Amino acid sequence: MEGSDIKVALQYSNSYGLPGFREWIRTRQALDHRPPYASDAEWNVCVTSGSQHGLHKAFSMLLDEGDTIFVEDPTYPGALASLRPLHVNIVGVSMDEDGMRADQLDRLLEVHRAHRPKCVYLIPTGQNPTGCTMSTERRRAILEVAHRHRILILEDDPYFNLYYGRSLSSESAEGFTIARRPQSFFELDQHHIVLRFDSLSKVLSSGLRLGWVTGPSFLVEKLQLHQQASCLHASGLSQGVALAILNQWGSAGWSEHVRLAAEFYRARRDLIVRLADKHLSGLVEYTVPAAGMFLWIRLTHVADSRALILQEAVSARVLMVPGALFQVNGQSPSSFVRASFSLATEAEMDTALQRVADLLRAHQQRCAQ
Amino acid sequence: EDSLVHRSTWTLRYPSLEEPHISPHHLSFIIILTISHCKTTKQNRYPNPSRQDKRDLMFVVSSLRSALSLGSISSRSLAKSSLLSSLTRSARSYAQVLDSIPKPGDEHYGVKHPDYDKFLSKRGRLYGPSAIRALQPLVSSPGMISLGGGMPNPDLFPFAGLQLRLKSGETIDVDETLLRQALQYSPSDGLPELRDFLLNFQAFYHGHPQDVSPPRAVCVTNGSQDGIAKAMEMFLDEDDSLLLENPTYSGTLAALRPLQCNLVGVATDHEGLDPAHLRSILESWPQEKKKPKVLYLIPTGQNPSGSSLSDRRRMDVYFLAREHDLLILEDDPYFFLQFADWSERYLSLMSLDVDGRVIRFDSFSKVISGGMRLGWVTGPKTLVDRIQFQEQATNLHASGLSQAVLLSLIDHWGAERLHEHLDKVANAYRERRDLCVRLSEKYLTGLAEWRVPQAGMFLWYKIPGVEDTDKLIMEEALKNKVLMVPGGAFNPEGKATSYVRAAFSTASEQDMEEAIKRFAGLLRTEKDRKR
Repeated sequence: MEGSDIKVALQYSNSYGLPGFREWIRTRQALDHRPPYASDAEWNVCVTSGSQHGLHKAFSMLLDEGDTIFVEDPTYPGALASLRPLHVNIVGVSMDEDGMRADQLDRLLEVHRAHRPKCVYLIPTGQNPTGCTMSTERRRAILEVAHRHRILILEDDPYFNLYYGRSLSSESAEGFTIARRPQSFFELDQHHIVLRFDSLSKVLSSGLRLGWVTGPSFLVEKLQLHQQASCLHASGLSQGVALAILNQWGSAGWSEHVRLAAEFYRARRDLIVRLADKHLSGLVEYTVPAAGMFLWIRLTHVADSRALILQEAVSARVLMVPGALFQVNGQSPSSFVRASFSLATEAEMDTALQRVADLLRAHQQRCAQ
Repeated sequence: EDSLVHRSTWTLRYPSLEEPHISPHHLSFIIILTISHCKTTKQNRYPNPSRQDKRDLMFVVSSLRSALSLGSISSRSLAKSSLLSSLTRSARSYAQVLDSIPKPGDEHYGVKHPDYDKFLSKRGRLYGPSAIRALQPLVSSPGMISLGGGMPNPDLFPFAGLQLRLKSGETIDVDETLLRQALQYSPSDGLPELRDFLLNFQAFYHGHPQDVSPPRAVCVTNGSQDGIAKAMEMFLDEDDSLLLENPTYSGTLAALRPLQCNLVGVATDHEGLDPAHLRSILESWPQEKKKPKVLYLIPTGQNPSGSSLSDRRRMDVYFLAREHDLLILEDDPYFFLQFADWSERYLSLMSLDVDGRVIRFDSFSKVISGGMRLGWVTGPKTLVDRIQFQEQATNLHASGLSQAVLLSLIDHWGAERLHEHLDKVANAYRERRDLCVRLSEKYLTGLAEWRVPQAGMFLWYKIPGVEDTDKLIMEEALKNKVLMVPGGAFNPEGKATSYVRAAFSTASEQDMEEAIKRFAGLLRTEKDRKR
């Protein structure tokens, strides 16, 4: 980075984001989502310090005390942490293998009709913690419900580029190509009720703190005003550095990079599934994730995984996150644990799951006694 | 002894303000200066301990001088004869001399820790530590394998190395480990090495009260504006009242608006916030209304007025805060843009803070880079931890890249060169101030009034005869192709004012002259029009 690029990055800049970076984002969004807007002026993007930051701004912007927001149950704890200080009703909507249930959302919207329902927050691809990816059909159903009840949709999609599809590599004869990704809420958003949150954290760098929000211009403008009054703008240095590499890659380079990323995580998904089958058959249940970095495991004979982890983890020398931490009601017991397959080596994963198996068998024995 | 850094403590015992007219015969005050030694961190960033001593003693002398101006002749001569001369000797003998001066009941001057909990807003209370982070200690158990964290795999991050080129021509290769740390999620209060550096930095430039409980902590934020916005949210409910200067920084007003609390503007003049007005506001506060508990101010080179709170007033304000149990939010981005010699500079409110009631907001925006978004909050750990919780729930942490770049620069420069750089920056702004004042005298005499700022980057013009500079600027200034900010933007009530803010930070000499000329033309036309 040199000359005017570095100068611009080091000085105060536009709260929407560095012009060059915004351009790249707009081009990207057009390619990935074919925004269903009559003109480019009707939708806008704003760079934020990570997508979590954008989410926080959106929550503050949309929710008054006593308003109601619907979320998947379980969901990302960072969103709950951001929502709790706002004194809103957080209503958890149950999920099945295809994500948030549209019929449940519909029913709960009726139930809470008098409590000023405002929006639904969801993570439709490789959800944290369940690893669930919503099909295009389910997304359409949710959109229809939201539109009918006149609420907004906050689409949090940090694992969008880590979609690799359900099929394990062992199942396909040809080389790996990205399975057809479901269409995003933003792409399906005929009625312009979707605010979308993207992130570079999983594919470029999490420490850079770079994400962006996309949606109807009116809403994005409000969000940008909020940013103006708090952190002014996302780090110019981070934006400048990201832009430098994105420009060097060009569109083809980006596509290749995300393809590599998806393949990278798919291989790890395959690994953990193979090892889980090897060590944990009969002890746990899980659904194979089609995206992201998490395996959501149900410990079949354990009523409360938190007690098990917190008490046994140190002696068992294996750690996973108890499911209760992701629930809207953190107090109720959960049989689930979240295992991440992003960092551990094959040997570590093997040992870890072996230890989980031992832990569970010991627990089973104790219960039998 | 080379590895030691002096840290000094003093408890300022101030004449009782219960008696508004201080009787010279009742004047008594005690300044206890304790110089204590403690080890530096391994890096030993701060050489030359005696510089800090000198500054401490200068402060004591100047506060003595201002207090003595109210004192009796006998006190004065006693002070002058034994006190001032003993300043040149060791601190211990100095303290002994001070003990000989009569003092009021000690209990009145004891340390008064605020009860931090009662300052928190409803929202502030609900930010808490992340439950997943609470599992962190388990991760480091021996032999533990964790499939717990949600971190992405850094193998996919395409950056292998980072090199910085300085204007001096030098290059810095960013340390690989540091870069790796910087590219991954990192702690919400900042990269540990940076946080530790900043604690030392604060200790050097602001002193460090001994045995303070809770201890002082630092949290790195996305620019100091980020820290301020979070602090406001942490303390202010809708029915709260915030004390702040009138005028004040428009960015803070923007952050405050959504909180919908009551803003109480305190009068200011060329020496900053007027403590007498602050006192009268607090003393005449209606019983039924929730009493203000927080004071926000920009005590050095204020944006927009350019004024700096005098040393005497800093003590007055701090003493008032003690009396009325206020927390002070000290917003000080122009602290290093002071034009006086280092030994003559204003000291921060944080350096007076024996109670732990000051939360200080620093920024590297004016001295290193504004675009990098790096600021930091310093204050009592109990409160700074809560800012950290807010970071956890929002931006997670300040840009790791920005932090790594800053750390690399500081490592490369060392404390001495950093100090030199701060010198350079202050000198550059002083020259610009001199230029702007010179040009103002040349073109604007008789048309506008102003005070010469001792710090910062702003000149605050008063336009006599103009009630509403908003109109003047929006209509006439744009026509005349010169832009300055109308004072209304800085008024807590948004009211129109006779003031206009000019910044002397970026314009070239020719541009500045042209701008001020055009502004003069505009004002002359306006004057003629009125006649």
